[in-house]
Amino acid sequence: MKSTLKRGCFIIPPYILRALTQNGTKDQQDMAWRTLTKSEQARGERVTLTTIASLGATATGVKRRTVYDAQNKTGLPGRLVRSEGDPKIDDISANEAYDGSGLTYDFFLKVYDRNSIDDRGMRLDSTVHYELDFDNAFWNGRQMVYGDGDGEIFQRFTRALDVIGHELTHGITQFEAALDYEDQPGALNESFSDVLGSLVLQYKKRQTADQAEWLIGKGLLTRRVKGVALRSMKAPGTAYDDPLIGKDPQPGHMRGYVDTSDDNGGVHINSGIPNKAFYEAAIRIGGHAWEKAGRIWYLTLRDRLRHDSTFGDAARLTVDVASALHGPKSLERNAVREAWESVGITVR
Amino acid sequence: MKIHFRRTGGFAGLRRAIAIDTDQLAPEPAREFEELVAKACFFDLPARIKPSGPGADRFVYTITVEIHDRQHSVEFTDGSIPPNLTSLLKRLTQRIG
Repeated sequence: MKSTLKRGCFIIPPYILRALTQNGTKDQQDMAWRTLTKSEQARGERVTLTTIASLGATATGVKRRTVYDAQNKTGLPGRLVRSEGDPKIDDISANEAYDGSGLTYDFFLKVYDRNSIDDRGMRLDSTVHYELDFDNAFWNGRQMVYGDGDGEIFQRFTRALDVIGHELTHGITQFEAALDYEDQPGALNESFSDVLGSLVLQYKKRQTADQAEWLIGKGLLTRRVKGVALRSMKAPGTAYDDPLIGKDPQPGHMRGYVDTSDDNGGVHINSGIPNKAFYEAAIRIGGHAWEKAGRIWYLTLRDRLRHDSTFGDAARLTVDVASALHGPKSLERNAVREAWESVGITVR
Repeated sequence: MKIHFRRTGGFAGLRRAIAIDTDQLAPEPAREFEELVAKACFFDLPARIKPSGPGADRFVYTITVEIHDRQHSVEFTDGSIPPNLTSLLKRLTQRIG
């Protein structure tokens, strides 16, 4: 590459730009402000000085939802299309995001007495139609974001209620254990989102543990793909096997733990291990999984885990919580211990 | 020039990857990729660009460029896409389908 091509390559770090907006000459201030604004827009972040304006406590049980439309671009949050109490609009994705976040809010309030993501009534913001044919849904630290899918492999991500529950649970994790998003803490972060996302769906269907399918993202894959869902908590590694997207890589036991630099250390791969542990605990305890196993997991996430907790920590702490709730010799405590044992993690 | 592109993570955790050798491409797309890499100031970018705050299920992108004996990799995510890589990322994403 010729050096002349490097003209205009000088990249000023954001902290210097911020300093220039305050202390530079008039020209420097203008340049710095334009550059910062442009790069923040390009990153899809909201350009505002009051990013936490949507926060603010409300009385328990006051649900506040807003749905935005990114109009196939990446600016967030996008155009407001539906607020709390508004009637349905002519947009399936927006209505699904509205209904799904409402069902998730109701689940956490009724079952675990939790008032929204931060337990202080935080507004639930969702953006639909993010980018074009976008094959993903994510939590950006402030809100839920959904793509429409490319139509070849994925359908729209709001189709699956457990996906909405999963994304909202990432928000809860951020306010509670704040698990690092890498390696084992990251895989636990993913697993808690799958566990509670799945329970939102089971609660809506009033299914017992043995009636539930324990699939994550059922209905997202198009008919062209050979697969039933994106993950199986009951049988990790069996959700799909397709020429185009490959085979579900999830392990369901520590002997299959995958060391990789992909995906922040395989957070969506190794989550299969704690997912399977939860399934085993729920089946052993029986009944509705959100009542006992779910409560044990939720309280562990809320009160016990730390940002750098490992699978071993999660195992020990869920056994401790089961013991505290149900007694040291209880069926529930033994069920949780055996569940972790079945995936290769021993709690003494 | 060789470009290796990998997208991992996201809610589905799927791994999509592609390798491009501009010597094997038709002149027009080859020239386009070379321009996009040059315009991006690719070799001046840091190896890892993390998003500023918390978040989850974002795609993780890795682009590696080899020109003669020089090689450089840049990893970034939705939420930390360097503005000067937007066009290259778009082209590469189209190629993985």
